[in-house]
Amino acid sequence: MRFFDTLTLSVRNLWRRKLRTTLTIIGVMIGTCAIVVMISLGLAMNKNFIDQLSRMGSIMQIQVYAWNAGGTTPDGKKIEPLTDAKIAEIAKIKGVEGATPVLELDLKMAVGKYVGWIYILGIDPDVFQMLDIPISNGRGLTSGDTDQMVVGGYVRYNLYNPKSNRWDPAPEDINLMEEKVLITWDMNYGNRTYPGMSGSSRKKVKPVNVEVVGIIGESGNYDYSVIMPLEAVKKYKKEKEKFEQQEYGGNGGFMIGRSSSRGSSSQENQGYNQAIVKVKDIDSVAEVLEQIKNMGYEAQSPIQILEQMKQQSAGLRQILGGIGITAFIIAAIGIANTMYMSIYERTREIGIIKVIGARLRDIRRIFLMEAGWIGIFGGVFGIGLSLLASMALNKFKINLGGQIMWMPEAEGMMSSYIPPWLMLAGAGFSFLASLLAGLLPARRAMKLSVMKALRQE
Amino acid sequence: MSAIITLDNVYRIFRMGQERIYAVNGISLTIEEGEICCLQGPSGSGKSTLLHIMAGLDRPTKGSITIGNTRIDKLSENQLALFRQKHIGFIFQSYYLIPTLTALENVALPLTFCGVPRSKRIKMAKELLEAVGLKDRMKHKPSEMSGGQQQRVSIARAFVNNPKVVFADEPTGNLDTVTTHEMMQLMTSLAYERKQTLVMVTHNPELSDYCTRIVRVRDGKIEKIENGRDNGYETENA
Ligand SMILES: Nc1ncnc2c1ncn2[C@@H]1O[C@H](COP(=O)(O)OP(=O)(O)OP(=O)(O)O)[C@@H](O)[C@H]1O
Ligand SMILES: [Mg+2]
Repeated sequence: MRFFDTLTLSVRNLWRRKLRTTLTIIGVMIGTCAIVVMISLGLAMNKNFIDQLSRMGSIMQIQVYAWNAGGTTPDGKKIEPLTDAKIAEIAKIKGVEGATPVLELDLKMAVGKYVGWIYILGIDPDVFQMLDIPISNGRGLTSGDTDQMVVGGYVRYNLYNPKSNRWDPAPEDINLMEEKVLITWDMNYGNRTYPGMSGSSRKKVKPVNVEVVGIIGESGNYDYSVIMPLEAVKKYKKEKEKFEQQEYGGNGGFMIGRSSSRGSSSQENQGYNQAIVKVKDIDSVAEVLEQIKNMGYEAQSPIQILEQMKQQSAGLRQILGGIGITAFIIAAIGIANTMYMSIYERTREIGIIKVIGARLRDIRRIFLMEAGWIGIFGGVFGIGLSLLASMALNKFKINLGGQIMWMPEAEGMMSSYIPPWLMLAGAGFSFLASLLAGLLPARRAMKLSVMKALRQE
Repeated sequence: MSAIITLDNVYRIFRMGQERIYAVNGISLTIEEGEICCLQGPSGSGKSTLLHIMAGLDRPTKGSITIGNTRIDKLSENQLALFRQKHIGFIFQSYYLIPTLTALENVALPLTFCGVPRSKRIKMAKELLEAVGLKDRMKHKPSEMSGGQQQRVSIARAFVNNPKVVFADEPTGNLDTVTTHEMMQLMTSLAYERKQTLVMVTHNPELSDYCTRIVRVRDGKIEKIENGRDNGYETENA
């Protein structure tokens, strides 16, 4: 029997049972749709994690903390302070692109009549470029910068007018890049002074002129931070310590902030609290992380969060996939049922075509092809339906992943994500499952003996 | 003329629980090429069972069946299908047409399984439908035709692939007397023109006139073989 004849015969056979064929195709379509949509929910969750993390711009960065410096590692090694030399050593680890210490310091900023506390991070300006800190306006730090700074987009919310009797924040549209900006280590700068208040007799500190060269775009990590070259921050830190010594005597008084790291001895010997390491590629992150931990430091990377999120969501994705597969199995049983029914209906007919010369393989092919057509149409329509469902889910922001994973709603968040491979896989799966469901009935049709088939009413 | 069908000590035994039914109980028979052979006998004597075994639709419990040079009892299911495709035509009492296909498509269907291209098989089917006098009913479905017309379609279908032997099981059982004679005329003349062998089962003693030989069957055995009219070929007794 010619292939084309088999093809047309199978189509005719389906066509003459339009209603049943349609219902079966709908069954397969819903099955395919269920499995594809369920998988798409899981994929969207993953995609959201990655998008969110990469929006933080820090997926290939490792935060190093030296909280344990001076202590010992579990295997008894002494943990050395995180000095410049140590950081240079970290920078030489295979796969590391660059490393910078992070020196934190609280200072006060003054812009016209507005003042506010600012949280400064001192980092190596040479390494700044590597950190992928998003700059929404102006430029980032580069080598040679001294009194230049980049400020987080929300830093302006810290600025207020201390002389006013009510809350008087800096205007919404203040552009720090165009204003004359001062910083000072006198944390009471600009405040109203009352008689008898501690420090009221202190001598005035002359604020330093700085230049805001860039605004950090929304990043999550640096929105309230100011980033300056490491050397400048070191200098201010010394000045601040000196000033506080004079002013409050030794212990730093009530002004202990994050800046008063460990005592007052010089930074170089004590080491830094923190460093940032940039890794060249995502696959090296875990290994570099391990090596830094072996040195005794605490090391963290968003990639750990990603792994954790993936693990947490794996169970959920399996449940989603399971629901989809269940739906599909039901659809496949529907196909098998339809094929069986049509064999019972056509038993006599199978007998007749055997008498007039149909071979076993002709009969098998006719039945498999019928099942195949159902699979193809069910698959293609199922993908179409999935795309519609996916669009609807995304449009109404039905964020299943977020609700279960407690992930915050963010812009560009997807509820359902159907990449091209999923479409192909969905349609292919539907086709193969349909063939499989048709195989058993086809075998039964083949095996029927002529006389038995003819006798059946 | 040489033998076209040879049965040697053929049995067909049905088991019904403990009981054994010898539907064909040791039949040996030779049918010559070009014969029009008629099987007659009381109901339940085993005529249909014998015919099915000769046509390769059923297998004997014992014994050998040779058609031409082929031992069809030795063929596999697939070989048998191919053999039927090429050499056998079959006509049933209740026509057994495919209800969703037109007369033309029904007649062309055996050629489809043979792999004959569409245009050629349509042409061949049309020729046969014309020969059975259904030129103006080609596009009709079986349900739109009378019993006689349906039987004509089924005759055309049996002859379309030009088989060596055509078997017919009570082909006129459902038809009135006039139509019965038309059908007999049609089948015998088609077989005669094409030098084909026709083996048929019939209850109707009047139809013996169309046959070259009458085989009387009783209880699964051959009771008697009679010579009928001469069909123009040389005939001889078994
Ligand atoms: N599939 C079967 N299973 C069991 N017994 C069968 C089967 N087919 C036929 N028989 C039995 O074999 C015997 C012969 O049956 P068969 O149909 O050949 O008779 P027949 O001569 O064609 O009768 P009729 O003239 O009524 O058609 C009968 O007794 C019948 O009951
Ligand atoms: Mg019978």
